[in-house]
Amino acid sequence: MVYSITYYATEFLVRAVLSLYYGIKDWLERVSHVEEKEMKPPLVPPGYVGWIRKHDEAGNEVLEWYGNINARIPTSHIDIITNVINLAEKSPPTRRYMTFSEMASKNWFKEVEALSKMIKGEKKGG
Amino acid sequence: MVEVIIQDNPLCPHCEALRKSLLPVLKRLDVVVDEHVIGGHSLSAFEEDYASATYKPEWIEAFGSNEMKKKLKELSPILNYLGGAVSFPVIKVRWYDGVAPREVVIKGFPTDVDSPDVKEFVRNFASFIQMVKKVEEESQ
Repeated sequence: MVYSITYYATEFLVRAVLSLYYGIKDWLERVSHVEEKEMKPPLVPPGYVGWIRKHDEAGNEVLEWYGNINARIPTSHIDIITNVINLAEKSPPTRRYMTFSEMASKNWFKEVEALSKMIKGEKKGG
Repeated sequence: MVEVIIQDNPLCPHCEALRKSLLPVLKRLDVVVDEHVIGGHSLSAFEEDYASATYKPEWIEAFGSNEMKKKLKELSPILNYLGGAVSFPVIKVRWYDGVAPREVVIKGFPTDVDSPDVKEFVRNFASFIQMVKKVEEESQ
């Protein structure tokens, strides 16, 4: 079969227009998918070597050496070292109370996230 | 180490339903479970449970929301009674995230084991425990 020149010309134009349209559409969708999430800054800056004040497993304040050596000093009421990153104040021990019906809902994780955002930094649980 | 502490009573149908539906899941997840019998004729009959403290006016004054504090004066007699009562079952999950110990206290459980709410609860609880385990592994 032999097609006329006008046929090839119109096919070329239609292909060009459609590929451009779908190309732009795909690109816009990809851009919206790859939107960056907000990254939280780390509690301890990377590369930090020094003391950190935080809580141990029992909830007591301790000084911990952040670096190559593992060292932990229980100092709940001693404050000798002043050059310290204080994580104990930033994130104290917390206790959350919830009922069965709250936890049985399908959006439980979302609710907990919203709750923790609301409460964060305001007070610690009793 | 993730710990799950269950406060229950052998004569309570709610606690029986909780044990039936939750203990197999916890065993599969390899979590330390501590069952603590409270209330009734148990040795720890006069011990407080973890959740009742939230009804006490002192607790609400310290940690309650603004809505709770507004209604505190009206409800204080009932709240005093509820705060002193022992209620079960109560589940407490404890873990350490590398900075501080964290706790979640869940109170109440229905008697019907086959209800869709219980299935959703167990699914949520299992995924929560897995998440907490990951958090602990990352912190070490």
